Amino acid sequence: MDKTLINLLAIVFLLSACSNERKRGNTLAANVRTYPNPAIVSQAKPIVNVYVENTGSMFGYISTGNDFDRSISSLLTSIRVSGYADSINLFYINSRTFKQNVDIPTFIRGINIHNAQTWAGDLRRTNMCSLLDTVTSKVYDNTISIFVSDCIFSPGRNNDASRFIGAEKDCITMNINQKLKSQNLAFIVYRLLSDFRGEYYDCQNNFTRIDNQRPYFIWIIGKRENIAAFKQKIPTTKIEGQLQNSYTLFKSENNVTYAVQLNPTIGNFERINPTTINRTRRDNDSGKFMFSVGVDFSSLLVDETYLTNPQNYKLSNPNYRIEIIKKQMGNHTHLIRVTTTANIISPTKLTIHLKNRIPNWVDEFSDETCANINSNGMMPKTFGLKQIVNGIYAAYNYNDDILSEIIININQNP
Amino acid sequence: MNMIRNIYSWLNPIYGNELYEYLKGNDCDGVFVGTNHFHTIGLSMLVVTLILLVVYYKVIDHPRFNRWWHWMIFLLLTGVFNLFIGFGYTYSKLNGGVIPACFTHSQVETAQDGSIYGVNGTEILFNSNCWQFGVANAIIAVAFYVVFSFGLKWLSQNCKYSPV
Repeated sequence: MDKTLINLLAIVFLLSACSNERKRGNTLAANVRTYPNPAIVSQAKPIVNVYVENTGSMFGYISTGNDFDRSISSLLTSIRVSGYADSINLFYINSRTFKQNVDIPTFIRGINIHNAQTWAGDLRRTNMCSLLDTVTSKVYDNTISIFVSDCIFSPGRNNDASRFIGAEKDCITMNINQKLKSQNLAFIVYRLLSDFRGEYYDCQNNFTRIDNQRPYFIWIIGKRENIAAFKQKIPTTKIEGQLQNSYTLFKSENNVTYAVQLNPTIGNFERINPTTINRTRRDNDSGKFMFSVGVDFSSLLVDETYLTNPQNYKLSNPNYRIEIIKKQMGNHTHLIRVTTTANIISPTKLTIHLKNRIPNWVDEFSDETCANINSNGMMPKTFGLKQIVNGIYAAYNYNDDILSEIIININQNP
Repeated sequence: MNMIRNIYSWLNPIYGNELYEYLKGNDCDGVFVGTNHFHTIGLSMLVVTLILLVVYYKVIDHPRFNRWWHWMIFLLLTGVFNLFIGFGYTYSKLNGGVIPACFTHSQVETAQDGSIYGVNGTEILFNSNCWQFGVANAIIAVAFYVVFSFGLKWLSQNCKYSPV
């Protein structure tokens, strides 16, 4: 009987101890739960100031009914009908700024060569640092700036073009950096194409008459929350014409949430917690092991094409490769499929870094040589584009070159 | 109770990872969000097993019922009862539609209200998984029956040497 009592007491004690352990375990699990970052999107309606550059180099774009006209018109119309803006103010900008007290259709109709040539201000040169400084200075908590420009530096005939754009880049960096100290700014740059019929001014202010497709740029500058709302309410599909490329610069806070999903998968594993998997076994038929990670990238103002390009990610283990799919699953916006064909799945802490890098198109469509516009491959390029983008990028003074970090423990404890 | 959950986890290859994650009380991301179903099932399994042992060793406790195969009959009863407990519990959850789609389907989509639903034809959790869980529950119950027998048989006057 004594043995029986001892055995029963031992069982009761064991169950009681396990119960306490469970309580501790649950509390711990509750503490490590990372809740999705609420989308940082402003609910307030901002005032939108639209600045269209009207220096001489812009006149070639001005033609009723061309892509330039369509793109600007559709953008402004979308801003109006989407309910994004509280009000829209329209300006022309060169060395000075001129407010146009007209409605959108009149403003669009007003962009014609006759009007353009009669505006006041210095129409002969473009000081990009000064222009960006002006439009950025008009950004407030409830105001965003839209700046339309060909973004071509024009240093003038007697200046060293390379030195000039280098100095302009530093000027942009310093000006923007100063503003970032007081405002969490974000910049969207859209590169568009349109018919250009007129005089093209190169970096030496020499002009060549061309009739071809030329790039121009729309910059959207505002507080990060306002830019997030802009991207949400005015997707790029709303901009008619020939939108070719886009890039958003912003300060990343590296707070994306993620979790390993049970499906889709190839092979088997046991999920210990959202970031740890154990007992992995590859599929014998395909010789692969694959698991999926649901990620919420909604807090990043990054373009979809950038997010879904595996080349923009860096993996800590070369045995793994990834595929990124846009798929809304609960709180997750994307699914990262992680695959390995290794025979043995070794214990590893797999780190996936989303790189913070300037997209290739900036380099591809930038010119620093000031070559003749009619020479091979020059037509889609913009003199000094890289310096503008690099100047703004440098202003953020990123400590590391990553936008987000995902860590998955495979066959090992965190 | 973590020990009981761990025991059930050893047998999850029998009934499937998805059902195991759901019964653990996890959400689709593997985060514990409450109702650890292994508590309910595990306690039921222990109570049923103990009741049958008490019935055998204390209530019946008869000299004509003290051979090893008599003990074996109650072992089988323990297995069968727990098979149906395990099956019934999971079957009611599966067919009651309370198991999230990420555990029941290999492909899920998100509705406009943010909820997820399984894509038809991608089901991965079936009634057979419920039977398999019942089998796992029966195996665990039988193991506990054997272990508890050695502690409880000393309560008996006539069956204390059953099974050995």
